[in-house]
Parts: sequence; structure tokens; C-alpha cells
Amino acid sequence: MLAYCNLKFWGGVSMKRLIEMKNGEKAEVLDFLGRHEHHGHKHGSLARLQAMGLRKGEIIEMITNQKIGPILIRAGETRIAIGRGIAAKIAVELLTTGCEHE
Amino acid sequence: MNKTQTKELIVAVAGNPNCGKSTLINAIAGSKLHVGNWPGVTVEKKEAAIEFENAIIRFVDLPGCYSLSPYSQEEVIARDFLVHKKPDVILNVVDSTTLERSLNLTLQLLELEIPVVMAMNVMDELESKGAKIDISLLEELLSLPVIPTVAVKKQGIIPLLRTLTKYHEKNKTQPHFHFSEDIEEAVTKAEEYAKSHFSKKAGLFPPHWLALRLLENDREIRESHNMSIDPDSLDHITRHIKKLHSKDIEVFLNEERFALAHGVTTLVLKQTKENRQDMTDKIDKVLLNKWVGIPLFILSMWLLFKLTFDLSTPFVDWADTFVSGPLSRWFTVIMTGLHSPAWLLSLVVDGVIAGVGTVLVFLPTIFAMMFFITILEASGYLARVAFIMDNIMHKMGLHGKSFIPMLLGFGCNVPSVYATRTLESERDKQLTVLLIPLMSCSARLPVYVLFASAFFPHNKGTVIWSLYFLGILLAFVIGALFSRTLFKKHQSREFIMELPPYRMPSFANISSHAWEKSKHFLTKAGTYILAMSVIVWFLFYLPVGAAKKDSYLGKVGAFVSPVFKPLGFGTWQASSALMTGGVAKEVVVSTMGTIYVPAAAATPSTNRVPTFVEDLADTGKGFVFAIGNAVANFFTFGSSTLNTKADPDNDSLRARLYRAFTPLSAYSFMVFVLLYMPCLALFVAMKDELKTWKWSFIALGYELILAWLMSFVIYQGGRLLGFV
Repeated sequence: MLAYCNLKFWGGVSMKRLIEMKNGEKAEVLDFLGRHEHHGHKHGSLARLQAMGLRKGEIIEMITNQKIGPILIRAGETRIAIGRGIAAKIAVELLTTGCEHE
Repeated sequence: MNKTQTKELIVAVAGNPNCGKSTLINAIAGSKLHVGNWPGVTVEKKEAAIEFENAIIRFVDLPGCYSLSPYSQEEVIARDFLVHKKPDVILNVVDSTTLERSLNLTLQLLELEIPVVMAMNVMDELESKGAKIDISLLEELLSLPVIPTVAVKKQGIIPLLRTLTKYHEKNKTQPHFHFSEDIEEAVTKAEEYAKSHFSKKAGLFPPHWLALRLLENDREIRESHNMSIDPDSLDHITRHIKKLHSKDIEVFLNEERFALAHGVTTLVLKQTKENRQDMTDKIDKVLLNKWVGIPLFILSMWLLFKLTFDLSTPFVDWADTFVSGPLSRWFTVIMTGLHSPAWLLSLVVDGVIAGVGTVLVFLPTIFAMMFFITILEASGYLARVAFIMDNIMHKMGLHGKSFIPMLLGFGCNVPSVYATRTLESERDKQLTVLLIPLMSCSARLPVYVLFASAFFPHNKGTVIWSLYFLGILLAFVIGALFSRTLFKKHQSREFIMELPPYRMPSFANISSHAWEKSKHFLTKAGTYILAMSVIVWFLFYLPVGAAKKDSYLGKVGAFVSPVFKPLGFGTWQASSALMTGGVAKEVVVSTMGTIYVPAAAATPSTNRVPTFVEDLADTGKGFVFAIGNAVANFFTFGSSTLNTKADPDNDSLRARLYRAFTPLSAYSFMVFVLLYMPCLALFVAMKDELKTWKWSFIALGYELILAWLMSFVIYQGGRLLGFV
């Protein structure tokens, strides 16, 4: 079990984008893609998300992801609705529940 | 008496949006609260002064914000006040359930070198989630006093006030928290730079704070205060950091704050029992579902209108009877007794009472509407509506957040124009503002209620609901049209929004907010509508002795009326009512009151006039009866009073309209009133918010065209289908 999880981890299989997470899944925020893409816009949507509590290293849970419309995640006690375009720019690492308790 | 003992303390109240700041200030100050605007902008400013243990504490509520970076108007206002007005103490209100995020703002407040006292709010909710905050550890880590409070239950207020006064005495300044050594080194250099380069201006700012902003090359400091470190020196100062950490200093500062906030939270927050049985998530699974969400929203809106009318109609009927009967009679008796001239009597009774009175009787409906809208807002459902509407809103080139000001427009369009400020992009704001007048505001309600109860007494709620729905539908069509033409060049911003947890709002809280909003209607009745009623009376009774049709009002109405002929209401009465109604749409009703109701003062009744005591008794009885009806309606879904038929023999306005309109032309008229133009206040508010008259005129133009076309289609289409 442990070996399998490690394999998953090292293989990068559990790396996903926020938009690919399923309901009820938990993940750690890894990175905000495209932050450096457009200079001078550091305080765009991604920076706002950080001020609202969605930061690197934060553990989040997907509440609703329904293929259309925004997604809803929970970071601690903060629920944030995010449009699909931005959600595609956030890299997360899935926390498989089985491995978390090892 | 003893002046030396009374000291005044200015407390700035800062916190994140939704942290319970307003509730806390209400709990502290109660009726002493003064609500105004920040100078130059229309962001709400609440102030209150209270006396506490020989001190006067003056609270200034800052706009809710997540940080003090100068990237939104709220943040700039908060920051300017803190930096330039230098309050004695900052009261930082923190929602204990979102501690980590809130600490980010706290740390920025600490940079200002003003003593900070923290109110740890919503402690009850945290405990019910099975978590605890180690208050004394938090105090020690941040070196500031932390007072647990539950604002809704008024808990922790006295200890909080005591701390505010005492803490100020002891600590004139507060040790700010220190960044890592590399940054502090750069800060010292930047401080020296500031001292030598702009010694005068720099003295207006806290030195350490200013140095940090200079390092970040803060936009507002650079542009508004004309202070920045020249690129070479800045590069020299920050080179070390950039090389070592390979990141911008601004990013670096943020990361240090986030890290500290995270560390502190981990240390002080204790989860005592695992509790993930969160109601909010369970409710959201249903309400946000892509299949169920929108039908549930439409159902809840229908319920909102239904309840509004069912509960308020008995009171409106009661008020109507009172105004047209006893009140007019009493004024006639009193003024005749005072030997006032006949024209003055007519002005008061036929002009003011028939005008303002006819509008004022709708106060119960407007209050009920505001009451239910406030429930939607305070419970947290309104934010969900933004979520479920996001996808549809994209079709009209906007995102879900724009739907909130639009929905609030059902109360009154004017504040919802200002509510567009929460939208990030200028383009979204402009487009949303243009669509807001299509949201049927409560000022249009008197027109609907009047016409619907005369012509559709059995389906009143549904008919009125259909008008609201038509407005929303047209907003989508027009929005889609505008975003593909007027706004083709710009893209909508992405949707990001915090959804607050569901909260059960208290009755007292809701009704005080609803009352606050309804007061606007009363103010309008006492100003615009009163003035228009007097003007309409003069236009209607001049030239002296002329027949109704030949009065100035009649002539102007008759001149315009051919335009409305194909819409089914080409009478001079309807035309003049529509023209005067441009000031405020309630005036349509008040003008009709003056035109249609026979001059009471001129034709003394031959019937036996009831005595004052009889009137009073009847009015009292009627009120009790109205309460009974409202209660009955609530439990029977309106079947109790909505079955009453319009009585054609009655001399009331309703009955007169019954003779002048058909159901079809009445519906066409209501649609025209829904759409035809923004009211005067809205016209000005649009300019106020968007800084140019351009959008006001675009709104006026497209609405006039749209209203005519829609009424035309409905009236002519209805006739083709055989309706009358």
C-alpha cells in the first residue's frame, strides 16, 4: 500500500489541475500556473484568490464540480467559488485518503 | 463636569468582508449609528460615538477588505484612513472560523504601528464545529489583546470596550512584527532613502510602513504621493533579496505574511473533535446542483413575490380605505373650519392626499418585499444565486457576480447601481448598470398592484411575477446583444467569489435592515412625489375653470397620446401619467389618483358623513381585520383575500381604471411601465457611478424603444389571439 502510494507520488500521477478534481476529493495546492505569464498583472485573479485564503500548501476539498458552471472548493472554513478558466490554472496534488493515514 | 477625565478615542474598525463587523458595531452602538458615505465616493461609511467609563469612543467602520494593497477602492479607502487620520486604536474584527486568512490583514494592520485590538468574533460557531482557539497563546504570538465575541448575541462587548480604552492608555504604539532579516535590512535602507529624498512628505507616513511600500514600488504611493525610489537605487537595495530568493519583493512579503499566518493558526487552532458534518456543504450539494439549482431559484423567487403580496395586500387595502375615506374627510373638515380657500383645500385633498397618499398606501408591500430580499441576502442564499447563474450569465457576456446587483434591483435600482462596485472590471460594471433598469424595482409595484388587482384579481401574484420574469428575460436578451455589439472588444473577468456559510438571520436584524431600505421610499414620497403631485395638481386644474381634458396636463397628454394608440392606451390620462412618472414610477399611480378620482373637495357628498369617532373605530377595526387576513393568507397561500372581485360600483381608483382599460391594454400598460425609462434618481446614479452621462442616455434610449416594441407586440399580438 505504502509503496503504491509512493509510486503514485513520484510518478506524478496524483498531480492534477483543480478543475480535474472530483467531488469530495482533497488536495494540496501546489502552484498557480501562469502567474508569471503576464507581467504587471500580479494582482489579477490569482492574487485575489491568495488573499482569500487559497495559497500554496493549503489543503482544499472539492465541494462541487459539475462539468459546467463554476466549481466550489473549501479551504478551511472558507468556501470559494471559482470560474473554470481560473480553476484550470491551479495545480494541485491529490491526497489519497488511504495514503494520508499511513 | 470634569472635562479632564473625558478623553476621546478614535477607533477604526477593520476586517474581512462577512466577518460580522457590521453586526458587532450595531451591537456596540445600536441606535447611535450614523450611516453616511466616504467623502468623494459612495462607499458606505458608518460612524458612532458612545460613552464608556469616562471616555468617548468614536468608531469608524472601514470598508471590508482582504488586504491593504491598493488594488480596490475599498482597500484604498481603508488604507488612506489608517495612514492619514491615524486613529488611536484599530479594532480588527476576525471571523474565528476563517482565522488563517484573516491574519493576513491583521499582519498588514500591524505594519502601520497603530495599537491593534482583535475581536475574535463568531466564537460560538467555531465551538459548534468542535474547534477551539488558544486565545492567550494568540495574544502572546501577535503581542496584541484578543477578546472573544459573539456579535449576534452581544457577547463580549463590555470586555472589548474596556480593553479598547485601557490598551490605548498603556500603548501609544505597538511593536510591529518583523520580516526576515534580509527584508528588514532592505527596509532600513529604504527608510534612510525616504528620509533623505522626501523628508517632508515622508513624515506623514509611518516610516517602517512607508519603507515597505517603497520597496514594493506601491502604485498608490508612487502615483498619488509621487514618491518612489529611483530604479537604480531600488535595484541596489533589493538585489540581494532577488538574487538569494529569486522572487519579487512584493511576492516575498506576501509569502512571509502567509507563512506567519499559517504558522500562528496551526499553533493556536485546536480541533477538539472531528466534525465534518457541515450543514452548509450538504445544503450546497442540493442548491448548487446544475439540474435542481435553477428551478429551486425560480421557485423561491415565485414564493418571495407570492408571500410579499399575500401578506401585504390586506394592509394596503386597509391603508387605501383610510386615506381615501377618513383622512380626506378629516382634512376637509379641519380646513373648512379654518376657512381656507377652496383651491387650497382642493390642492391638499385632490393633489397631495390623492397623490402622495395613493402611493404611500403601498408601503406595506414595499416593506414586505425588502424584508424577503434581506432574508435572501442575510441567509447566504444570494451568493449561491450568483453561483448557479454564472453559466447563464456568461451567455450574456457577464459572470455570476453581476447577478447580485441585478437581483437587489428588485428592491430599488439606485443602490444596486452602486452595488456594481464589487465587480472587478469596468466593462462588467457598465454592462451590468445598463441592465439594472430592466429589474423591476419596488417603485413599479404600486402600478402593478393597482392594475393587477383591478384586472386580474384571481391571478394577481402570478401576473406581477410574470412582469418581473419578463424583465429578467429581456435583461438576458439585451445583455447578449450589447456584449456582442457595444462591448465586443472586451472580455468579462473570471468569476471568483466567497460563499459565506448559511446563517439563520434574526427577525430583529432583518426587519431593521428592511426598514432602513424602505425609508428611501418614504423620503421619495415626501420629496419627489410630493413635488410632482403639487405640479400635477396645478397642471390639471389650470387654466382655471377648464374641463379636465383642456387642462395643461390634459393637452400635453392628448398631444402625446397617438404614440400610445397602437399599444392600447392612447388616452390623454395614461399619456400624462406616463410622462409625469418619468421622475419616479410611483408618480404614475399618484397622477392617476389625481386624474381619475373625482375632485372630493369640489363635490361635497350628499350622503351622511360618518363622525370622527365612527371613522376612528372603523379604521381600528379594519386594521385588526387586515392582520387576520394576512395571517390567513400566510397559511392558505393567499386564497383568503385574493378571491375578492373588483367592485365596479365602487368609486375608488381601481374601479375607474376598470372602465378605462381592458385586461389586455392594462397588461400592455404594465409592461410599458416596467420598461420605459430609468427614473430620475437612477439616471443620475448611473452618471455618478460610471463618471459620464453616456451610459445614462444609452439606457434611456434603448429602454424607450424596447418598451414601445414590447407593448406593441403584446397588445397587437394579444388582439390577434382574440384577447381583449
